[in-house]
Amino acid sequence: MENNREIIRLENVSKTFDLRYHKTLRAVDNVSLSLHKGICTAIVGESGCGKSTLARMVTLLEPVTDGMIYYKNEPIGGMQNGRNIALRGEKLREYRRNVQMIFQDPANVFSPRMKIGTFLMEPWIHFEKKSKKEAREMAYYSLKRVYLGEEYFDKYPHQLSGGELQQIAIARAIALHPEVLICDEATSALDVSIQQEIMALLKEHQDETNYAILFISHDLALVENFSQQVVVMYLGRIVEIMNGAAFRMHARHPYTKALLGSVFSIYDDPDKDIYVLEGEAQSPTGEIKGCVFCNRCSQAKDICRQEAPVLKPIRTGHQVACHFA
Amino acid sequence: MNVLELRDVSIIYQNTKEAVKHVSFAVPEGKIVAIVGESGSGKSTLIRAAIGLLPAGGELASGQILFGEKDMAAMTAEELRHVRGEGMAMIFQNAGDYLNPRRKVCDQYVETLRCHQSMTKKQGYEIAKKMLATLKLPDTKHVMNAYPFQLSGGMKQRVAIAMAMSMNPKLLLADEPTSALDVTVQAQVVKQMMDLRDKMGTAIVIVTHNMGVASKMADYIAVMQNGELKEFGTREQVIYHPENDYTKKLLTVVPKLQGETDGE
Repeated sequence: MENNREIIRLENVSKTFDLRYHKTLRAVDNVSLSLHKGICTAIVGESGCGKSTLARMVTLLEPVTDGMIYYKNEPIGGMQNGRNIALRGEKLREYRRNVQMIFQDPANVFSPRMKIGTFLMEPWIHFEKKSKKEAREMAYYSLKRVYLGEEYFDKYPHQLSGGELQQIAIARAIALHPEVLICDEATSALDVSIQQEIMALLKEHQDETNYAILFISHDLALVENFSQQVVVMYLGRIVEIMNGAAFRMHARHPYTKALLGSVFSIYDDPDKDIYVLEGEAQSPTGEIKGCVFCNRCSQAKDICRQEAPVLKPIRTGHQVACHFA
Repeated sequence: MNVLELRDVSIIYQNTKEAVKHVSFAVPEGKIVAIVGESGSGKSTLIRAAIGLLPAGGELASGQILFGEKDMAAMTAEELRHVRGEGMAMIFQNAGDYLNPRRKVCDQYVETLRCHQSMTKKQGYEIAKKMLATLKLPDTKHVMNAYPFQLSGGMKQRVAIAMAMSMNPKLLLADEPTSALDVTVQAQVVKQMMDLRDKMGTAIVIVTHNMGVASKMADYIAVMQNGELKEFGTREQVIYHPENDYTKKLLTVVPKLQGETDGE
């Protein structure tokens, strides 16, 4: 397991957004997490649970309000002793090179007036200081890595389908052999058959270059087949961290169970009752006392409303934040 | 009896490629038919044609769409006005997009009701409130007095379903009703649509790309690809004994959870 070297570590990271009328919105609340080489960590949760905000903080697109992010044990962003620490200049450039991101909607990633080739040449010109001629060769190679022909070099983004664009986005992200790849709902906008191709592509290159993946998704089945570690978030807090394989059997937190119960599988019995989670999530503005899930949880007792549960390990690689797990 | 019947339907957009090619199938009374397929397969076009809401440039090139026994194409505007809403109703992917953002839910709701049936505003309000309660919306009074932006996506979708169902139509057309929703909310909406079918006997045609939802809800499944109907059959037939290669492929690429049947 030497391969498991830690690359990025988040310590008690929080993010709050200031709203009007002196209200604050807690998007991410006290999250600790680490990404290891060659391991795919998946974050699942519903909209508004802070998973995208987390990804944006890891890529330093969003400043951290509280807590600290470490990259190879170096603090790169956050608060330390009341001082705001942020990477700058050459170091930030180096970080960006090693931490790449793939977004949900590939159509918004590309400049509509830029050819695919130019797009793929950019990393080589900016980071490796290659000449245009060399960069062109490397771009052809990048295309080959994602199984696209050289004819794509001279095309414009609007001529390609969503799946092809996502392939190109991956090609550029992995061009410089990054250490971490962050996929923010990278396959949600795509059809299932294309989704499978994209996942196979990511997997294949992971075996080759051994990057860590932070995979953000709301599709539990997809996550299970793909990742080694699964993090379940609810309203900005981590409620459960599990091993990827067969987590349906091992899930302990009521919210994780509810999530799993809401997935319709093809071969389910259609007469089986649908498990429905009652009510709506609490408002993320203002202070939440106790467990974030207590207002919808069927097992909630008084202690859940008084005291926020902390993540506690119950097995190796399995942590739950619930008083009754 | 069939509520909706499509006979050899082809649809053309601005005289170019056919978006739907020679599709025929029927929706029996009180049954749920799911149309599955990937983007661009013509499934939305088909369902929009059924209620006569093709986008500009879309045209029925051949074939017939029969609602009950009547040909939709031969109906006058006044007849259509009655069929839509009373006979069949439609819900869309994003409910927020067709609720008027400047009017409260109750005003829009009562207006829709009063378009089709003669009743006082007060009666309409009561019916609306009852309908929202059937859909298990918490605090119906709050929902009625809210503007659409104050409601969450799942609540808006349920308001839309309530509006569509309150005229007690024979047929509900749903175009990707759960695609924009989270899984737990999706489960709520799916459950409520199935409950409504059981209670009111409404036939439902649901367009979806989620095979799991299709398999859960449908009595019949239609598989479409590139405008062609690849397979049509009962749920058991299509899920367990698919004949078409494309259906088989579609079933294998869907990611599955391990230990699916046994749970905890």
